[in-house]
Amino acid sequence: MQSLKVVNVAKSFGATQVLKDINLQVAPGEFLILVGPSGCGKSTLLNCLAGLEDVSGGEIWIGERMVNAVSPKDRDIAMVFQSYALYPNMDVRGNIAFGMEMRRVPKAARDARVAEVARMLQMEDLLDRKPAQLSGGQRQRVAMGRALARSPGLFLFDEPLSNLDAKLRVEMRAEIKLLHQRTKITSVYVTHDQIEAMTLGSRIAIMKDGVIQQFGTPEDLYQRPANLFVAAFIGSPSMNFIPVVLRRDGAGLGVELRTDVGTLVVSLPAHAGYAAYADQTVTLGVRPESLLRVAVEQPNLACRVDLVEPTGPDTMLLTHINGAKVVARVAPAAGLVPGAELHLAPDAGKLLLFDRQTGSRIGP
Amino acid sequence: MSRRAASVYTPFSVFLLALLVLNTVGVVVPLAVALVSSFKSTAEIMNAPFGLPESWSLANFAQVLGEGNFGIYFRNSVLVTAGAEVLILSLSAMAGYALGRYPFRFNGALYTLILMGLMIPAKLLLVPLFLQLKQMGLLDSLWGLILVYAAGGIPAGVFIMTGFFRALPKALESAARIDGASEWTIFHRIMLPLVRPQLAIVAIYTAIPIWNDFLLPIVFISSPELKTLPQGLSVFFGEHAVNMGALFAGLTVSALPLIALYLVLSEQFIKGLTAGAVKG
Repeated sequence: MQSLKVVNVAKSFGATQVLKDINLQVAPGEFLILVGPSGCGKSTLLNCLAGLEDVSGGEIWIGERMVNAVSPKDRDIAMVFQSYALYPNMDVRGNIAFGMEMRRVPKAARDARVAEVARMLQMEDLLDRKPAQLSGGQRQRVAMGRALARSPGLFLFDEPLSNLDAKLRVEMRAEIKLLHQRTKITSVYVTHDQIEAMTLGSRIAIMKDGVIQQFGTPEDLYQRPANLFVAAFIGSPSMNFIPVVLRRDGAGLGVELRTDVGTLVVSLPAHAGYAAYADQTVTLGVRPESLLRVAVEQPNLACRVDLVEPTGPDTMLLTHINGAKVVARVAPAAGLVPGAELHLAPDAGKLLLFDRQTGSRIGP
Repeated sequence: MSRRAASVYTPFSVFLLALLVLNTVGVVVPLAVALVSSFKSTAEIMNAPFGLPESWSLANFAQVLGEGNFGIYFRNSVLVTAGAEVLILSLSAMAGYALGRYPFRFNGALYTLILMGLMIPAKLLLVPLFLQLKQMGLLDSLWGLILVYAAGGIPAGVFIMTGFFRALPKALESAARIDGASEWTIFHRIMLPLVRPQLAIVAIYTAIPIWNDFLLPIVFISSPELKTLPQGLSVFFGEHAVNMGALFAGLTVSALPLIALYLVLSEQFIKGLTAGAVKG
């Protein structure tokens, strides 16, 4: 179990800067997620942590050691690759034991450790097979076993589940989480899947164009996204973005929501940051589940349903507010059909405002 | 079913089959004639070149194998071919690995330089090679032949191996590096086993011309105890008469090692060793 510290790390390939001023700090035993769209630099950052790529600037600390000049094998790390990267000419036993063999661990100790890891991952019956004789899920398991065998201080995962089918992915995700709970090995996990990020991570760094957009707990990212990019990336269906004008509303500020069939003025909780935007257009962010169906007697915004998407536990309703497409996540109910009138009220405590120019969140 | 059966025999597929049959006949008939002729006497060969022997006599084989130096020629051929192959395979694998997987400054230039070796026929270099070997004291020596053959085979070997090494997944190398393997260990424990089928291709492709070569031994080798098989078989070409039967028997015997080599290595082609290396 090691801590990890990344200080002002930069990385360029020729003239292209793929990582810009990356700063991260992870306590021992944490599960850090690097998430972002493809090309955001998350895998490059992981390779830098592993020592497979040199950084162009900054420092990487694993535990109490600055490892910039330390070779991958001496960084006390293990890595699981997207392609698994099992050695095809060795059987499963050989694959798991290879790292220990390279470190001159005696044969008896190697065998004992292989047996232990195989038991932990329930793959004792696979030990004598070659990788070609394994299914995708089994290969994944062996790749994890190989990484586990050396009890590394830091575990690196490079999109380990993206080659699996949807069902297996969910199973393996839970298994990875269980494994982490049991071993408590500090982990860094790269993914482009926000659900994987939210379910696995104790902390998430969300990246775009080589820059960390926000670094926080899953809850932080979901409730208080730093900017429009984070707000749109985390959550499914995505957060709704509605253009609104901040108007004075009595002592405070409010926004007006308008549809073809109704209007509603929502007062905002008082916040010093809002004042500067009075009478300006900003982007209102509201999660689909924060648009509540209310009784017609309560203050509400009447909307016309454009489209109904039942998912089982919830039903997604598509409608328009201030000209923007909006999704509301509501409980399934009779009478929810296209064209029906719907009475919605946003949960005022969960409204977020974003600057239209910079995309940054305004307020608390 | 009937539709399926009908679609197999389109006019084009029949044409292709005919072409393949023709090709097979073209390859097999000369070999069969040589094999059958090795059991016939010279007179019989002259009278009925394509007929079966009156009696399946082993006299020709006895003559060839009894000819004092045949064993020596055979041994020399094996030594020269094996020596050259050891050099070709080990050097082209290592050079191909370096050129295919390490980015360094003159990588492209070096690769081109080696490939240029493919474009220069050895026959053109006969005189300079002769002078060079003479200077090095390697004229009339098996070592001289081995070095010249190795140099001739390496460009093709490097060409083949570089391409295949380049295509191997980078993650394997990274995984091994994190596991603590040295560059040499990554090469010979992880990567080399994955290109064994390709090494077999290089071996067969380069060994056949070396085993059969007549020109270089005749120019570079003069001592009878250093002659190779093709050179040695020329004793059956007399000044006025050719001992056809013995010649065919000699050719038949000399083809056996190559056939054996091919049978051993062809299994490698079929083994899909890279299967399952990455996502499958």
